[in-house]
Amino acid sequence: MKTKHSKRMDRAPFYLPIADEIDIFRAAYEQQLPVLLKGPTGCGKTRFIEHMTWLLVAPREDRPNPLITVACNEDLTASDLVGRYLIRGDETVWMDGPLTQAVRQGAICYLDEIVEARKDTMVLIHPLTDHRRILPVDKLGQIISAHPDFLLVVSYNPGYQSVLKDLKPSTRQRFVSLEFTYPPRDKEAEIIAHESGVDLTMAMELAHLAERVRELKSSGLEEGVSARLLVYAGRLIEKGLSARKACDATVVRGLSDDPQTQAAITEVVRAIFA
Amino acid sequence: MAETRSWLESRHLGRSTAGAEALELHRNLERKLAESLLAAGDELARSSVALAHRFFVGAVRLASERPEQYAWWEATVAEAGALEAGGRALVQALLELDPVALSRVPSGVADAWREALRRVGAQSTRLAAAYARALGSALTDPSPPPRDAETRLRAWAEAVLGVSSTPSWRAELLASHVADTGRDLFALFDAAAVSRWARLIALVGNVGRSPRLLSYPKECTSVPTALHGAILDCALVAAARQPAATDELVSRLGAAVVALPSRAAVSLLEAARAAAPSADLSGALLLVAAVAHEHDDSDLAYLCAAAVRVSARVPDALPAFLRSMDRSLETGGKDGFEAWLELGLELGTNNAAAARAHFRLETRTAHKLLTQHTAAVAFEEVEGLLQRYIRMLARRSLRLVSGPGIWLRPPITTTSEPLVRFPERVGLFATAEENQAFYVLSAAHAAGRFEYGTHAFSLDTYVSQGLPVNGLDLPRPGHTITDFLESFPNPLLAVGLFTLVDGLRIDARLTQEFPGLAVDIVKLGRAYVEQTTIHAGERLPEELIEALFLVSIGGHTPADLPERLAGQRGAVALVRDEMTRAASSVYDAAALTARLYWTLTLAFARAADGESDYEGAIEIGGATVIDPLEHLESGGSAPPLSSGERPETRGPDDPSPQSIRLAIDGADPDSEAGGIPLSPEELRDLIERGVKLGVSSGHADDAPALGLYITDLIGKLPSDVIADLAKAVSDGDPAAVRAWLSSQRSGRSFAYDEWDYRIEDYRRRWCRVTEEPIEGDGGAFFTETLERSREIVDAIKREFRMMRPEQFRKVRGMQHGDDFDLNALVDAQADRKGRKTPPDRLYVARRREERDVATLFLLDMSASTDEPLTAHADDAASSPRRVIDVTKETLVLMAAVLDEIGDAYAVYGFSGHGRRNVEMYPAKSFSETLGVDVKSRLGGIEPKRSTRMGAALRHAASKITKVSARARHLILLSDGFPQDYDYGDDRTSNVYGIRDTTVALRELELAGVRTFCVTVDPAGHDYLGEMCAEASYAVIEDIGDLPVALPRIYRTVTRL
Repeated sequence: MKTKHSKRMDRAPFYLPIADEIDIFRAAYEQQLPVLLKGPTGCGKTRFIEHMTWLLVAPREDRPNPLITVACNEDLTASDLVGRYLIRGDETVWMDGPLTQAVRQGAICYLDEIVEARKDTMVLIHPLTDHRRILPVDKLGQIISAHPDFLLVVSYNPGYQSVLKDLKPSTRQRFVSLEFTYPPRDKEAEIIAHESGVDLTMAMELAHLAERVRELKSSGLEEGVSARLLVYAGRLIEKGLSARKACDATVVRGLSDDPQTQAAITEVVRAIFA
Repeated sequence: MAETRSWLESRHLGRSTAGAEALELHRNLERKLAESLLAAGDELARSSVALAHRFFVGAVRLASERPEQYAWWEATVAEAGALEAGGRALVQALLELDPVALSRVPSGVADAWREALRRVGAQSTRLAAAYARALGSALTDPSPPPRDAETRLRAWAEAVLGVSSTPSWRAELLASHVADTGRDLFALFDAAAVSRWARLIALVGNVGRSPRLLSYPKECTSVPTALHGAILDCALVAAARQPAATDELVSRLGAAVVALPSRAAVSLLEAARAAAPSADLSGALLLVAAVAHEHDDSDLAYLCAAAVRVSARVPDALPAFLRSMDRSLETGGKDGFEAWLELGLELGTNNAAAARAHFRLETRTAHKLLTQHTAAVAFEEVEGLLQRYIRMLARRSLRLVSGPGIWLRPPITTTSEPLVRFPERVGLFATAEENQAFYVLSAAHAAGRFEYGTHAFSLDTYVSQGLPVNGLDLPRPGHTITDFLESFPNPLLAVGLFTLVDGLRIDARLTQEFPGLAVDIVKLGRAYVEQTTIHAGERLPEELIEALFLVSIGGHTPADLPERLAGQRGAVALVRDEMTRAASSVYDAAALTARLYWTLTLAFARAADGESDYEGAIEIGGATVIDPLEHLESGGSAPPLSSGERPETRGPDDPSPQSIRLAIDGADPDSEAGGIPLSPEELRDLIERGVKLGVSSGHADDAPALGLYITDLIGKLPSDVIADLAKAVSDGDPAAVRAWLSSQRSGRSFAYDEWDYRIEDYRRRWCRVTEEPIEGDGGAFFTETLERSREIVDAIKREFRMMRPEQFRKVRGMQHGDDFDLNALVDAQADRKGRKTPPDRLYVARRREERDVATLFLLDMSASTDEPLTAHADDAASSPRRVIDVTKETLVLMAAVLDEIGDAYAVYGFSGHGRRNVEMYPAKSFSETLGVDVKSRLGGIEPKRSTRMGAALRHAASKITKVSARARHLILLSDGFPQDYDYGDDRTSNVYGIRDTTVALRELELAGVRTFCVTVDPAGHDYLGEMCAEASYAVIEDIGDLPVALPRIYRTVTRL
């Protein structure tokens, strides 16, 4: 089973708004409209949803995990999401899947990289994302109505998919879409500084590096640098590693195996960090 | 006594000026002398009055000017007359000489000459006459006779006599010729050389139906005396084997010797002697002569000594070695060269062909050896890096090209397609890292011009800001920075200044935004400046430029400029401060350039007034001579020009570079036009080294001095293209030749190595592949075929569908799954009851079977596919079905079926003619769908020419390896074995082609592409077993079966 349950959040997950995404999400939540978070890897989608959950959904006894995250992949079956019977000792026991849990408890269910999931799995979410807000569970013979606090949020990385995998229009159009991109240099520097502990000057340089490397997106790199990698670099630097070495271990080697691309990024690292 | 002498009183004598003068002089002679003279005249007059006259005139002069010498002369003439006993040839020859001049010859020499005359005359007075004439005039040359003149004279006599006594009907003719050549060669040859020369003449002259009279080429006249003998030695060895080629060889040897310092020349001659004479060797010597002036003496000595080693061990490879040796040294440095040499010698012991290819730098291994050993970095090694680096720094993609020379700041270009020019090779520093850093810094500067506004310059804005425009040729058609700079009267100066001035600004901004670059900017700039010599004269303009250079690129501060430039400190500081201000813009730089320009021009003008031999040429950065078109490119035809061409480092006394005549022959490479093929690299090298090239019109059988042939230049070219090259060469326009070469290179062609089994190595970049369009038929063939074969297609589709597994397979016995595996459950219960631990694999999961297959169909479009099928009764077909028609149909069916099941596929045809003309015909690429265009192309496939499978496979590999699929396949459809007219040396043998194809298939397998060969050649089993991977081929006995067989094969291969 490949689900992930968020740990209890005691303090607000740090999130620096770039535009008005917070307001839009709040409005969607209050209207019980499912949300689609679109954007490249490492630009804050997961952090955002954690932040919004903290803002909007309080944990309760019957709802220990206000945010239930599922990492979607090819092997994800409907039963993985909805639930299955298991043998426990002598008995056959029904286990609710994460989606069912969220639907029952009124948590936010976040399906990360939904496009990776199988088509038959994706069909499940249709009844949940229209005005009915129901989840049919065949094996139990039940139709569960969603708790009013329940919200379905999915994420999707448009640049990364192979041609075969794409969101069908009928699926896409059930969601309110929020588009995430890499933040501008100064905001990204703030984020890096906050998350890693480096000073703002160093954070600016890291953000500058990211900006440059992202130019390669159309010529050699499938995906731009995620903020996460930059934060890693920052944390390594905080621990005493030189900036060049830290960037080498994170940005240079993490992004590509192609020697020429690595060499070119290394040169940019050398240029930015004296 | 006034005896009547009719000859003396003859009108002819008295009337001529010389005669009258002589008569006059005679009257003043001392009486005995005068009488003796007359007596001699009498004697001569008996056979010929004319001779007597001639004698008289000369003798009188001699008697008047140098009476003490007269007796000797009279005796000589008398002796000659006696020898001849009535003949006149010898006397006549003598009398053609100037006795006065002859009398000045030291007596020992003169006597030796007379003695020689006697000796030769004893054998033949005709020969003696030739000897007298030739050697006599040689002696009467104004320059003093050589020290060993007497020995030489004797040697010449020996030579003549020697040749004349050979048993041949030509002996006398040749001996006479030997004597004749003495006229010019007396001063050149020592005695040893003379005898060799004679032997050579005899050797060459006695061969062939009519005697060939060898003459010593004029190129050899400036050879140092000591070396003539060695040249002749060489020539003798060669002539013994191949007399016909002797003159050419001698001439080339001479040219080479003249061009080389003496130690190198001696070695070269030694090497040449050991090697077999051949047209190749002559050609190689010519090239050596041409490029020698580019290298310093110690290098040349070293190289020629290496040549001796090569010719000792692998004489056949000497020509190849000579042609490449200097390039190898340059590319690989001493270390690389040594390694290359050693390997070549080693190869030579077992495999002469391998050694030759190795020394020709044709093999992959040779190339690798050289580049490994050098710290120098070639552009192609860093091209990928620079491309991406610039993408990141300039935020755009630029086209990168390379050219000869070295520079740190790329030339400013604006073409319709922005491009950046880099040096081909950087070897300035001792480590590869630093050389690479040089490239990177150069790229950063080019990117900076985009980032910091240089290329955003608008002439309109400049003008509207009221910035200086005096003296500029405005308005211009364009508005870019290049247009601005071109508007100056001397654009070169403007560009150079701007590069320095704006460059300061760019560097300052780069340093600010990229602090890591600061170190390199200073370090590399300084090293670059130190290595490039700057010839600033002591004139103000040049001093200013040098100071600017040092500050702008070399990283000097105004304060630490050398003392002699102290006067420029102020000016330079102003420039620097202005450009390093944070707010400075390209317009500031432009304005400053304009002001500097006019300051300099005024200073030039003033200087010109003061100096009489003033020359207006300047150099910015010494080694970077400003070529008129270096910094400016405009228009789409952008010829690549020699930026930073090395300056004329030769002085006026240095030997001028050789000229070479090229026969540019674009004829069908099939015809054995002979001559030495010149590779594009060699031609480029010649251009860069300033060799004067001329074009000869003519064919192989013309006079031998035709030089090198470019028959193998860049593959078969249309005649107008060849004509362009011929014109560029004959115009003596190096820029145009470069442009031509580059235009050939930059056409969309791909170079691939080829495996040569005989040398057990790859021949580097041996084949040139281009992609050619297929003229489609609008889809007619496709539709028609489908119609006709509807039943077959349906049947195949059915089969495919049946064989396809379910989309989802149930997999039992899983630890996790969707559902219970009832059987396992029941067993588990039983286990529990029986107190055994039940297993936990109780679930059933549904696993998705995904098919992720990509296949490239490679189709042989060779001429043999035009063959009609004999064994098939066609139903009322208007034209007989050919092999190609059947394969086309098969492909149509495959396409239709594959389209349905959704597998990715591509179709490429191939053919071509020759290794430089392999042609690929894309019918369908992977990214295309089966649309109208593809259908049309599939129908338009037609038979072409040859079958160079190896190159086609390698190009196909480049296509399929780009596709990301879990299973990749290549299916080769052919009707025969690999074949091309120059696929290997031997047209009758297939071994080369088969071996190369084998290796190409293996390369594909190693790259993760499964290969399969399908042939309709009934003899296929003979070679496919060897060529193909195990069990990876099929021979279709009856070609009519192909349409059904191929889909079946496909299914099996891709495991449907």
